[in-house]
Amino acid sequence: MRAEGVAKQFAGRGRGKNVVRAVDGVSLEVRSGETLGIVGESGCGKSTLGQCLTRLVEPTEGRIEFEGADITRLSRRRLRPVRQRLQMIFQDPYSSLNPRVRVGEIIAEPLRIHRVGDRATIRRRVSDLLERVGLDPGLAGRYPHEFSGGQRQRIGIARALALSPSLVIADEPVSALDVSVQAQVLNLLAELQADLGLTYVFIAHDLGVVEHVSDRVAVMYLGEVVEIAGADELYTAPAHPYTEALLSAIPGIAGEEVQARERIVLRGDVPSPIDKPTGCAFHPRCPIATDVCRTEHPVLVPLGPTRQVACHHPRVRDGDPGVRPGLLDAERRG
Amino acid sequence: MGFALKRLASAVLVMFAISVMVFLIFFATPGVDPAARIAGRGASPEVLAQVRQTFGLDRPLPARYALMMDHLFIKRDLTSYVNIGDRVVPQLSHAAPVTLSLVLGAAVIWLVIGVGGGVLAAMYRGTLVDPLMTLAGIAAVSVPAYWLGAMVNLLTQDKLHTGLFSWVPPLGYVSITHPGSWALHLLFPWLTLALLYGGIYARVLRAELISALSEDYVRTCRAKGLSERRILWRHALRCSLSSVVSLFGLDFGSLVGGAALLTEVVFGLPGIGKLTWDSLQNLDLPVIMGCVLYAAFFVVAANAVVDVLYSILDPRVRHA
Amino acid sequence: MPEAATSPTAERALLEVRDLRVTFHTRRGAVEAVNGLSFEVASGEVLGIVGESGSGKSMAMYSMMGLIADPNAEVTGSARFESTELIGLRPKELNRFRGSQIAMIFQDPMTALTPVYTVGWQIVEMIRAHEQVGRRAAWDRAVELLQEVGIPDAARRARSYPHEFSGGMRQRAMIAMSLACNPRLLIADEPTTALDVTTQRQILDLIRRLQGSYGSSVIMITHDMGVISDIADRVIVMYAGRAVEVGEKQATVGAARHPYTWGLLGAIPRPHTRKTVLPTIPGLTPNPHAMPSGCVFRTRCAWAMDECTQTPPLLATGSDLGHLDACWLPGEERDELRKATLR
Repeated sequence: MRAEGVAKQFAGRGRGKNVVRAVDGVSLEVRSGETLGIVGESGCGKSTLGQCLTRLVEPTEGRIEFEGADITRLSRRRLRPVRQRLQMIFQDPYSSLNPRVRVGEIIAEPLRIHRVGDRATIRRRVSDLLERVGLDPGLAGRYPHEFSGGQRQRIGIARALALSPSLVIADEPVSALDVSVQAQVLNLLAELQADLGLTYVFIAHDLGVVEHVSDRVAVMYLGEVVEIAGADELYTAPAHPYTEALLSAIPGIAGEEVQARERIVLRGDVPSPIDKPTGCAFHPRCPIATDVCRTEHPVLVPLGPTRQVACHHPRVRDGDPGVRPGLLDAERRG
Repeated sequence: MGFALKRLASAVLVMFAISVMVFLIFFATPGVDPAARIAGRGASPEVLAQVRQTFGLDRPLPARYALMMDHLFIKRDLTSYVNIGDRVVPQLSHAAPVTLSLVLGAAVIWLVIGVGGGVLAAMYRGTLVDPLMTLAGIAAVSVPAYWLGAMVNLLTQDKLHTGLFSWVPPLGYVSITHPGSWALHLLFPWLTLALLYGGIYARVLRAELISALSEDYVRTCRAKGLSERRILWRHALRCSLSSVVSLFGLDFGSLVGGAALLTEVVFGLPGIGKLTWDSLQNLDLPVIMGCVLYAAFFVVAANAVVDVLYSILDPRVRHA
Repeated sequence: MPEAATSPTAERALLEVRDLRVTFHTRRGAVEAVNGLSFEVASGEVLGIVGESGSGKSMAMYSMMGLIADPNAEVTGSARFESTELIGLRPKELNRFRGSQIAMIFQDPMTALTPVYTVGWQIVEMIRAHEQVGRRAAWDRAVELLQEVGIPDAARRARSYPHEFSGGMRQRAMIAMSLACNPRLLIADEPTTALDVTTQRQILDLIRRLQGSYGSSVIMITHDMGVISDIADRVIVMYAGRAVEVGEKQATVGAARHPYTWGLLGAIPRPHTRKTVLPTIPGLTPNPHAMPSGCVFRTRCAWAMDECTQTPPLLATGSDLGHLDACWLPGEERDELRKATLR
């Protein structure tokens, strides 16, 4: 079971000649059983990417492979069995559940659509699922508004799990929740992963959360992946200046030791994806940009077996975690 | 500039489509033979043939359509099929000022009633004023125009005419060249029409204002230390105007186009509504065509004006 | 009942709040959104109020500022700003303070500005509401303010509408507006919650810098322990309408003494918690219609005991007399319990 997505998309929402390059040539793979975090600020295209991966949004370019099969061009009908194995959890627990449908029905709906079992089986499955996500199965007859935000997100998770998927794409699943509830939901997701052998793509803007849940993390900026690395490697030795800026922007908690980090305050705002800067998309805000950054678009290159970065001047040294010894020296010489 | 041109082109297109539709409906309706109408009852086949020839009714449909448009817009001598000799264009230009006078005057009054009532109701929500205004608004909306008009006439022209309302002139229209008399003749028609629309406008505006008053920016205004009055008039009302303007555009366009028919009839005003009604009764195609195109013009024009006003009122629309 | 949350360093308090209560009278009975809150803000200090949604932190601020529009709300207690009692002030009198002496900025800069007026216009409106200034002079000041908060090309951007600004720029504009009349106190209600981290960083730095140069006091309301650690001098932790812990930042966040604060701190994912089970606070915040008697946190507290059915006073339980908490646990055990909980 392996979701291999070599995806390249072009989301052009035409108003005049403006083409919004929401996701701009993203290639990544999700390994079975892992959690791949996708992090970036609003407008970086991370949610669009997530929806492309499940084909909720049709990618304009590129290929998406799931469990060894190309699903990019599958028809709606042929996509159906794939959807069983590929589910999404959404951000807003307040608007992603139909307010007029009982919770039990919401969870049973995917089972009905995919014609899994008879009435009694479905009912049993729904109460199993509710129990699984930590809710009282007796609440199946209630409506979504009778639940708190955290409970609603649990319902959303139960619905996603109904068809026993192998890969779950979670789009900002905890960002609408209070810290204490967020921790409960994060724990639940981890527990489910361990018990059911799930693979997650975890999309969020909060680096702390992503770093907590992920094995590997992809950092996105203006529709492109600028860095992929193991979560530890990324946190201890970010290679892309944007990653570094993101990490240094997280305020530490009083009385706790934080890794000493040079504070990088980015200038200005994220440019519009309609007219992206030439060369490296990050160069207008980058503290170390040079001429080559303005003209040449950097591609993702491996730094070591586990990490890749798209930067002309990666901020790592030999001996940093995940960096192949001698690699940087060789490049500098060449 | 490009916007205005586009707007104009689409207006012309809409009017063309409407005219073709009216034309086709008329001629494709079975049992309607315009020649028979023109010639009168029991006309001999020879006379009918003669009529067909002179009116061009023996030509193919597209040619007949072109002929009619030529007479209406270019030669401007299109004549009625029923009252031979009556030209359509002068009929329209006589009726138009009557309707315009009626609707313009009423619009001023109903905007005052609507905005005033809506603001009052929003300002005093939670007190007794609000439900009273609501009741008055609903009553005004639900009273039929002809009934209200008839009642007004009964009081001003008959029952109290010798006493309280002795100053009210008889029904009918007086040209604006005599402004005093013009206004006096139109006063009660104005009030009758305005009451109907003012009620609706007050309701709509009240709802808009109340939702605007719960917006975040109103909280910001309060935190800025602005007076409640200023918040209501300069912020909440300003942001609620778009919906009133779009409603007004539609209402004004259709009323000028003839939708004030009932009021015109009750008060004996020979306006566009009356003209349209009469021509429909007689199935008098040239007049129907003239009236319909005239009405379409106003509806389309009013919509264009609304669009322009919208972009002035709401900067977010300007760049979209 | 609740003791005054006195800070020993506060010389002359700019704002002194005593036993503030906000009660909503609903069909299902009275709901106390803020329940006997007392605190003060010294001049020049940044007070952080941290709590989850429903803790009453924003409601407390709105009640002082007369921003609760609900006719069923009842505000009692005292909030003395310099020598004026704010609670019970008529709107007209309150308007002498709102905006000029006490300014506010809000969470969502997308909706906090009137969409149909330019940013400059709205700042001018604020200035002219409180000062006798000509239009021209007010406009120049607005442009200056926009420049000061770091809006590039301010003279031109002042003529832009709010929707033409990005989220971070809008929040900057809000801050510019709030500073227009040199307020003594700035209340910032979750000002960075809707923003991205890098923008949040910029805004926090900006507030710090301006607070320094204008010498205003700031009340920063947030749910984010990181934000509070970054900017606050003193911190109040609120739960279910009450202050459960108050003190200097290093004490309240760095050496927390209340089990709820431990719970909040423990729930934050950090580098060393990677791939571990986060400690959580079990259960949900109590239903406002059925608050537990005594300590409101006892239904979710791992250390709840018999005493907890009595309301604990907000007292100094350790050696730091400015560090108060409302908990019956023995003071001398707190440090150990904290370390065990937070690892």
